[in-house]
Amino acid sequence: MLDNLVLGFSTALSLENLLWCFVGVLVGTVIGVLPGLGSTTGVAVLLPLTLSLEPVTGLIMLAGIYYGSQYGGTITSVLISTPGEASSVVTTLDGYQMARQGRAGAALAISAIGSFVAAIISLALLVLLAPPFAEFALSFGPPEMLAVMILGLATIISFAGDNRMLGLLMALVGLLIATVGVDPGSGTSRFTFGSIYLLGGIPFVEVMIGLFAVGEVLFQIRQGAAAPIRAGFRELMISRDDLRRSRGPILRGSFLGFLFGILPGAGSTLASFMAYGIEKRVNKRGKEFGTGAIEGVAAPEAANNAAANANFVPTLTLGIPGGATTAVLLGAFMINGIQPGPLLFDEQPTLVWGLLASFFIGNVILLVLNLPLAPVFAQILRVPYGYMYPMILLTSLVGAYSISNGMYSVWIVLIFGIIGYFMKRLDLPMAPLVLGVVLGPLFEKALVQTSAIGDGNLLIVFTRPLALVVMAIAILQLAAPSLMARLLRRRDTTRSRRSDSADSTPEDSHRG
Amino acid sequence: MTGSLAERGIAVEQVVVYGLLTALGLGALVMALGFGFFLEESRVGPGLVPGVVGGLIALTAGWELIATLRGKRTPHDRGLAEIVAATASDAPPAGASSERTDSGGVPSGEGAMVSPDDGPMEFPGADAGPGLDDVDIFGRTPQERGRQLVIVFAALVVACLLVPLLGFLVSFFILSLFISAVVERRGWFPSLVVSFLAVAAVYGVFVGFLGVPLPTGLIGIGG
Repeated sequence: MLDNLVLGFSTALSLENLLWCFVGVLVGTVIGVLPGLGSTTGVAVLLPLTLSLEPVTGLIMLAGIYYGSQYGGTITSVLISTPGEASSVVTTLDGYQMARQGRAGAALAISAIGSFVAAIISLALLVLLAPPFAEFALSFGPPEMLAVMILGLATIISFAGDNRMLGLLMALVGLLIATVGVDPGSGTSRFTFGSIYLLGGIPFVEVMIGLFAVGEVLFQIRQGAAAPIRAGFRELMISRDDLRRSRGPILRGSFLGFLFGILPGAGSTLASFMAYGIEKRVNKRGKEFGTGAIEGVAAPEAANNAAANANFVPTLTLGIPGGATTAVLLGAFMINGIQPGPLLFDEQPTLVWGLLASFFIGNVILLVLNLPLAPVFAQILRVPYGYMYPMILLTSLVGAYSISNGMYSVWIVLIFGIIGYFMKRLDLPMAPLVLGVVLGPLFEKALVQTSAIGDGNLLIVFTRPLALVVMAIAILQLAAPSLMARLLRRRDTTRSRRSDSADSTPEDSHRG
Repeated sequence: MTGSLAERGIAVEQVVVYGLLTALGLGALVMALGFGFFLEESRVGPGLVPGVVGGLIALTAGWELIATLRGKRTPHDRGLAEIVAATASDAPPAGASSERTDSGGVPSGEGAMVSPDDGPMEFPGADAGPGLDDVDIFGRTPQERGRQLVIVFAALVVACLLVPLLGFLVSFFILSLFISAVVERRGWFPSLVVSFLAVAAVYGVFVGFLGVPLPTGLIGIGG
């Protein structure tokens, strides 16, 4: 354990890695600040830039963009009530109220501190839990991997969007996109329509640049510019009392965030929403939430950062990404010829531990940057979108070109840009599609291997206890929300009926 | 449902998209039948995954298509913004939270029991920007914005088509200039400067630093 950490820090502290870590978290913060430019877009657009770097250096930078944007997203949530990142949407509730009361400084400071504490806690957990988890996953055969992938898809379907049916539809479309090209099992070419380009399959980094960068820009054009809301911004100081009040929420948020982040398929947005909701119930100041309570900023901010880190547990140990951004990061691993999975910890110790150690360093840099400089970052918002988006488009297209050195990639980006626009416009969730595209080839490989083990009988999945348990969880996950909603609805109507018929009637309280 | 113009537009788009997806699923299923579902000894063949996936796409998309045609689905009713509205409506209505509830337009009691099922990277557009029917801060109507969207995308395609002729840097310089100055109606001089700087930065990073040979076209600039 200790020598692993030493190895990690000696890798991460090399001058080059330190520099790129700094670049990553800085760019991440800026990307987080910009509304409409999320961490997924940022990682997808900048992925081509890292191709010429050492794999570990490139991944350190890309991961820095990911968790850096969690810090950046907070800044605009607090100052102008416009979340730069989906995971900081909840922060607008209390953060913006605090800003209106002239306490923006305290809100930004507590979210930076909360994020930092959460990052350190979750990293310690990650360092402790990931290796035994990887060890355990070594015993996974193809049927277990198949079950885990289904679990990942089920999770992302049930949490991604307003409608599980649409989530399922998008995941299926992703899987179908992944089948284009030569079949790994038999070598048959599928859906290629005689094109030599399609033989190699539809390259998914281009798909992601198209969906997240070009699609997003097109959507923003259609959506129009929002009026910025100016907030008072007086004191940067955070009082001792604020810190004392935030201690509990930060700790609870960190552990909750980690718990949600570790699920394959559940992203940091979910974690921040859950942390806010639970903190509201648990905290004795819960009633003040929504009016500028510092606890309402601390808990979700801690949770989204903890979840961002915890996302790396399934990504690194199983090769199954936790969310859309880690799916793109998984793409970065694969482009470098590295297949994350249980063997990664044994085969690439320098890479894994260097990456994990860089999270510590990156979070320290972020804390130092964010405490004094948050208002400076907010100035980026003054750049008009009319100048900004041509630059985003330009970078996306050149980046795509550089992946394959051909216009083919650029056309793929444009096609998926249009698809991405319509998906956003019609509220079709993107995360399931991305996960489908990424998992597709792995899924099919596991399926072929499973059928080989079972001599053609796929039902052997159900004879393996571990696979069976995982499958059961997956099915439960798809079914549970509607059951829960039904239960809640019943309880809710009971409650409202109770409050209607005056609280004094004693026999009513038995009903709940 | 009092369908506004924009809402009806979205419903039409939904029908088209679900229809296309249904067709895509069926097409994939039919083609996959040709690949063969199983090999000898009933092992998984090349057609099984695309076939099953295609079939399921056709089923789910078809279901959504029918639901949309029957007017069952109202768009944007349970997205991220509405969950925020629901969470906020629990709190004493003040400032931003009440503004939010307005834009959500969901009965708050109904929203409160929705499980927070948001996408990890979904951006709450309804929250950040003006509504679909509203005029934005530059006074552009939805129709104008829709036209802008088409122009920008057409410009992208044209720029890509011009790459073999003009080279990457020149055609994208023109693209950036066109978008800033013509579409967004920024000043010509700042647009020129910004576009030039952007292209120079791309040249520096991709050609200078990464050593990617960008196509130079017939003129031979860059690369």
